[in-house]
Amino acid sequence: MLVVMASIVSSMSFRGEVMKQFGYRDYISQSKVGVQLLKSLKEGKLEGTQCTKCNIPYYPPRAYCRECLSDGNIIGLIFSGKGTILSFSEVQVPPAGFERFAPYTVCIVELDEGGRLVGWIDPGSQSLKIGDKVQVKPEVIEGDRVVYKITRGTSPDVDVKAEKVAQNLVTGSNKLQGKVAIITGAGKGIGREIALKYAREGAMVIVAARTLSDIETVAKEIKQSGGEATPIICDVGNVESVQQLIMKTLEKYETIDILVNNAGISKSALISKMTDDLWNSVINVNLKGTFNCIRAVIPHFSTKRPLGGKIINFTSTAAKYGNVGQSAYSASKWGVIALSKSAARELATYKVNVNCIMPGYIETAMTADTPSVYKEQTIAQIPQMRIGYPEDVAKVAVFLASSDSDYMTGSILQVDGGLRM
Amino acid sequence: MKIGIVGIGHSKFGRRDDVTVQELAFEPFVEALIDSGLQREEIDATIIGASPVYMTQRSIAGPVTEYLGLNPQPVWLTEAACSSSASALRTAYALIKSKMHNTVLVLGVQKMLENPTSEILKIMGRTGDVQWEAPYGTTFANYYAMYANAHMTKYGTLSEQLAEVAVKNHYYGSKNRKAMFQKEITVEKVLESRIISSPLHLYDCCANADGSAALIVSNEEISKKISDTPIWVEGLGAATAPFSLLTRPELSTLTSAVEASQAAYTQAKIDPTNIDVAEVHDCFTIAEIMAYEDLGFTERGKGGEFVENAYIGGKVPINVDGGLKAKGHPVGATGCSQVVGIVQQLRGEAGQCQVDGAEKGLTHNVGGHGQYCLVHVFSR
Repeated sequence: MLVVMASIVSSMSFRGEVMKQFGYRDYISQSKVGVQLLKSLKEGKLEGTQCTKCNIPYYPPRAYCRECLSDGNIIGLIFSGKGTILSFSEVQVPPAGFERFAPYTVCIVELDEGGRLVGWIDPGSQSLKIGDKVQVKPEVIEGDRVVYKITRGTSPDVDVKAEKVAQNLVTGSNKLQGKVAIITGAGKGIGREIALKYAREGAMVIVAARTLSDIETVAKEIKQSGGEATPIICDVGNVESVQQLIMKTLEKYETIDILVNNAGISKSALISKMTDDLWNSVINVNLKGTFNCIRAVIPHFSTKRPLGGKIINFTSTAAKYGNVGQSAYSASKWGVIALSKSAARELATYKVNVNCIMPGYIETAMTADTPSVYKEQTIAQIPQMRIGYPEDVAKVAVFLASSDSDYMTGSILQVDGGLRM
Repeated sequence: MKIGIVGIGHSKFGRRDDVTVQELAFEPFVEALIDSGLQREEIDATIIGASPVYMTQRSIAGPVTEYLGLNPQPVWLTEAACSSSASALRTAYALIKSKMHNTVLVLGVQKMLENPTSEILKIMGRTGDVQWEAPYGTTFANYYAMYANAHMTKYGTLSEQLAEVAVKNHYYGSKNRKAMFQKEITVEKVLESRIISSPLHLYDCCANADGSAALIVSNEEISKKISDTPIWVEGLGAATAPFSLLTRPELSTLTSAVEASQAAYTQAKIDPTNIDVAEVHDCFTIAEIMAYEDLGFTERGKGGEFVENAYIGGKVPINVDGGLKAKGHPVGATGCSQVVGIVQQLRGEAGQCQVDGAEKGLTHNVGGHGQYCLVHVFSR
């Protein structure tokens, strides 16, 4: 009983019921940040946003920074859930639609990291005081229902530090409405982020990669957010597999508008110790794989009507500057630049734009194993003083896939916070 | 150029099932017109203050002016929730000051009781944040109850002190024939009444009502010509605050009221000690206590002890026409109703609730739960 007494429940499912009764749109899921919020709540995370420029945390999440009025620096921020009761009141005379819940106690919780939430204290306001410390934890109950479980006091086992997550919390402006986009290497990292962002921008996304479970997860995520996605297994280093990818896409959607050659691998060894196999495998995926995909899509691009298409290839700042132990990777990525420029010249006649994105130091699974010393050193060299997030790259990928970049081809867009300018 | 109030009118507040919104608007209009001695043709424009969400008739500015016979002069609606008609007065002031119009009718009108109480609570609740707050069944009583709780915790304000505000305002309401409630009450009665949203009791809350009030506002030349007793608008302050409690920095004060009053005092070149009589937005008893502090009538945190100073004979007589508490609160009409009360006081026409020798009066009209606030200063 004490446990029940000590819990504060703010029920999202209850909100849903009330929304229906009120005839509201579901403002949570339909707001710019709402879909992400619901998803995070279901994952047990109290996810707000933060403006990385102004360093202001927001709970509830905001899509635009109140200070700089920009959505450009908004990232997700997981709140620890610790907070303080600011005020509360027990409602005995409820508004229409709430009769069967009364009496209920509405309380305002101020979160330690900043920001507030309104919820219900259950079973009531007895013995509750302003200033009481509480802990908030979203929990899924009965399948789809999410509650904020707010417990008085703080317990050490949930001493979670605020943690930044790189996610785009802002829905798109339909810049890619109705376009069919193939994204290779879309199972994780930058490719996954591009797939999610393209879908939010209205594209039908082919989520391609070698690992079925990864691409299925991404496709499911897109569908749950109301987007359109098809997972197709593909090893870009394998010509047959690439042809299958193009064929299956055309079977399903009858056209292809955008090809994002994001798939890539990184295997490190000093040149003196680099084996032929290692060299070949990196070149085969990063350079030959990009070539395979471009070659496979040209028959379609040259015959589709109306003409038009976008190819986005991925190079790296490692191509420009080299990197100890990354001769194969750097060479493959420099090769992608030359390949892109040639393709840009060849395909201009078909109104296909071919451009490169050159990411710098981005937080992905590929960079996760970097020794922390090297990580800190690299970040110290970045004029913008932070690691890049897949979201930063995905935004540029949207630009290059949209009509906004129609007069660009053969160019390289560097997305590195100024690291290798 | 000074701006004067040359005509006032006030309907009976309360349940007005006997009239349509047009007829309700007609009552104070005729009073104000006769009071001013003007002809309808001399009114250059009309500004209606109302919160349209409560009413069946939408876009009421058109139907109302047609009924009042004010076509073809222009009309429009201003909406700022419960401070709609104070906003209308501010707009009228600017129009006359800019010489676009010479005489403007400001008419606050509201029919709320076409809806059942629970529906009104719901509609009003949506003046708060519908995304993060209203879905938890927040009501206005609930918002102000949270202010009350914060004020009580921070300053030790007592439920008895809240009750004393209600007792005072019902006392004066008992003398106002236009008020919805004309019965005196006691502290015990307040504290024994049922809880609406803790710690606020039924008698801590104003009542939803139907009602209307009208002001005819003119430029200096016309005011002096047609009236022996024009009441001048000396200072206008208006300010806003975050509309969501999730972003409101402080829960025991309305910062919008602090800012609006400072602007009004500055323009009128006075300070709070110069105010002889005031009408404040006592939608809930805690709101009047916060107003004492926000308007500078007493120190921060001392509002609970100030009530006895708000009677006639005290430091600043406040809501001596009954306030929203006893008059009722037809949201769109309240701002004008407050001005009518002050104009009567400054003219010396307030009857048994007259504050002797009142020269400067103030109105404090809050919209929403503090997201809007307008403070006006008037003089004889």
